[in-house]
Amino acid sequence: MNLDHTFNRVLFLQKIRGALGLPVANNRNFRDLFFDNGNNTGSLLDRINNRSAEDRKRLLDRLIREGGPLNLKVIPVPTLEDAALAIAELARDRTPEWGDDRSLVAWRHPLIDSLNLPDRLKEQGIPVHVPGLGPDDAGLFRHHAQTALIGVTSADYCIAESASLVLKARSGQPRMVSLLPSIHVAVITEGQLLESLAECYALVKKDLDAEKEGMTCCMTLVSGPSKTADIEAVMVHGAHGPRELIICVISGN
Amino acid sequence: MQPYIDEARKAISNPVLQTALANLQDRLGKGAAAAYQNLPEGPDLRLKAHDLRMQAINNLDVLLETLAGQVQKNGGKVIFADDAAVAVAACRKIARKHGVRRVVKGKSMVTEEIGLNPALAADGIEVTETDLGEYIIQLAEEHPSHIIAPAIHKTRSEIGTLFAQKLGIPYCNDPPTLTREARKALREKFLAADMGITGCNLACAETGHIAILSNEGNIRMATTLPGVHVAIMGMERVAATLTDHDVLLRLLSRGAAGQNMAGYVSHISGPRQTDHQDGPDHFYLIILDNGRSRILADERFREILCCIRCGACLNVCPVYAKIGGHAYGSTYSGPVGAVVSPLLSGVGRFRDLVLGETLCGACKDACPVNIDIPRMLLELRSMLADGDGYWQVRRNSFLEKSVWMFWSWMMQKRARYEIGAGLMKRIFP
Repeated sequence: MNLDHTFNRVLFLQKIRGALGLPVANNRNFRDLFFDNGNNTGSLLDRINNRSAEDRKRLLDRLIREGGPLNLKVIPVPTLEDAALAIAELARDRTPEWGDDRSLVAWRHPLIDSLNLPDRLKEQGIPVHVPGLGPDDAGLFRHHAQTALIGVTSADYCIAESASLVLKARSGQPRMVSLLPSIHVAVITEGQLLESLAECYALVKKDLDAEKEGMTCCMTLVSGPSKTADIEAVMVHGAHGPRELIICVISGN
Repeated sequence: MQPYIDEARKAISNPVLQTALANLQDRLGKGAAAAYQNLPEGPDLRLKAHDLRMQAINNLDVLLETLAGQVQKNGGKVIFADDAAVAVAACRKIARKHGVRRVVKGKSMVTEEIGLNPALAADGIEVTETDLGEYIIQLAEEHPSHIIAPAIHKTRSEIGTLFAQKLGIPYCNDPPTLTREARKALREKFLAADMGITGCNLACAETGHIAILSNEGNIRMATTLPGVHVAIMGMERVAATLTDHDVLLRLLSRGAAGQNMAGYVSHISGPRQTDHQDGPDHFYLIILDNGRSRILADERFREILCCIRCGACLNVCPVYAKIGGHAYGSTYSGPVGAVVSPLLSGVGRFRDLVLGETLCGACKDACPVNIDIPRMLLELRSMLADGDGYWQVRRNSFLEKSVWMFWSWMMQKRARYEIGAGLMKRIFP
């Protein structure tokens, strides 16, 4: 059995061309076949960039409406301060699941940093762990994330139509913060709201074309808390991921 | 013939299963239909999706080459596997290379198709299914009976007894409590695993990513915590551009569960970047043929490769509603299984599946990419009647064929028909 990858690839693709009735040697390329003149992307980007305050309010209403049946709680808050208060309240009220102690993990992110959670929760004796950026810090942070009650992230975008947070993987913003804790809180600004997945992909494509970070190695859409209906179709939240998802939208008015 | 009929009879006489199947169809079947209606583009988006799927399939070589090139550029490794044996061997080799002892798996029909779990277990590797339904099936040592609801055939009290036996917890039959117990048991498995194995719902050539969907979050766990991620995809599961991907992802979520978007969608294009705090260090993508190029070469059946395995056709099929998934005796059940199983694993072997469907057309109406399954079932039936060299199908018996030909000849002219009818009246007055 040959596991030589290049060899297998050539034969594999030749076999497909044979099945399609095409010549063995390929003379077509992707760009020619799937030419995208960018018009659609362009108009989507225009729409995103020219959104009025009213449009954004409409998107927020849509997000709240779509989130309802998904058990996704959207809390519009006027300021960062209110978002921080909401998180502090959750940290006090909810029961820890993976250990006896209450603790939080949070992204290293400008918006999250400015919530000042470590200082704010220190009085209540609740530690807030932020990932260190050194090569040896990852193991320790994973340990914190395993036992944390709440994980606090921001997001790149939030899609109103399907109530989906869009999270790209970056240094200081590990994926496990939105995955291992019992509760996931995302803090975003109203300006990050998008209407549709198509808008999100248009932004990704613009980023790709500019050879910036594009999708990153892992871009995740999160539309509600973890759920399952595998036992007699009874809906249960908290199958593997967070049992609660709360989005604080800073609306600035 | 006998296993299909026996298993179907067993299913029909099982009242618990009948209730479960009726509920499933009532919930998911109707949910998908309603969800197509609320598409911003309207339900005709399914027709557009069919076109762009066909265009992708007709240019599959270019798409796969582009996809592979992008994944490699992002630091992932791509393996082209001609058949199940090559794919399984590649997985075992990867596991050996990284010293893997424990594997967590996301739900994947393609790994069922290639029989991956027993092969890894034979190497002394612990393989844990992590989708709750799949986990239940694995503990019970059974096979899934539905593409997205694998444990639909089991009752809460059966699951309670199973968990009491296998997890050593007190018996209970409360779904939230049972789910919590599975969450605890599987959390340990996720944290201890060295490799995650998943399928791939839909790849995208333009970006070089694969998208994997779940509602439980198990796929995110399996692709975030272990050091190695292996994804296995049927070679047809690729979209050309992000624009196509958008359309298909929305239709897939609607077809599968009537959702605007699945709870979690991971777009994965490679291993973690070196400065990231989590994500796998190694990413492998295995692209599997295993009989698909044979289907591709036959224009009568090429269309079935448009399928994105959402399970929508199972949720509306009147035959599936009665006989359930196990009677099909194949990895793929329901209307799509009745086309795909014969083509992948032998038309003769799975002839009952072809003959068992009703051709009512509900599957076509429910399909998010509007695949004409009834047309292909008819093609398969005509193949069974007339024989087919390409698919190695022997024709029906000479006697049966002759009787039908004679009948057809008699019916073609009024005079012949009347002579025949007169004769029959004399024989059976």
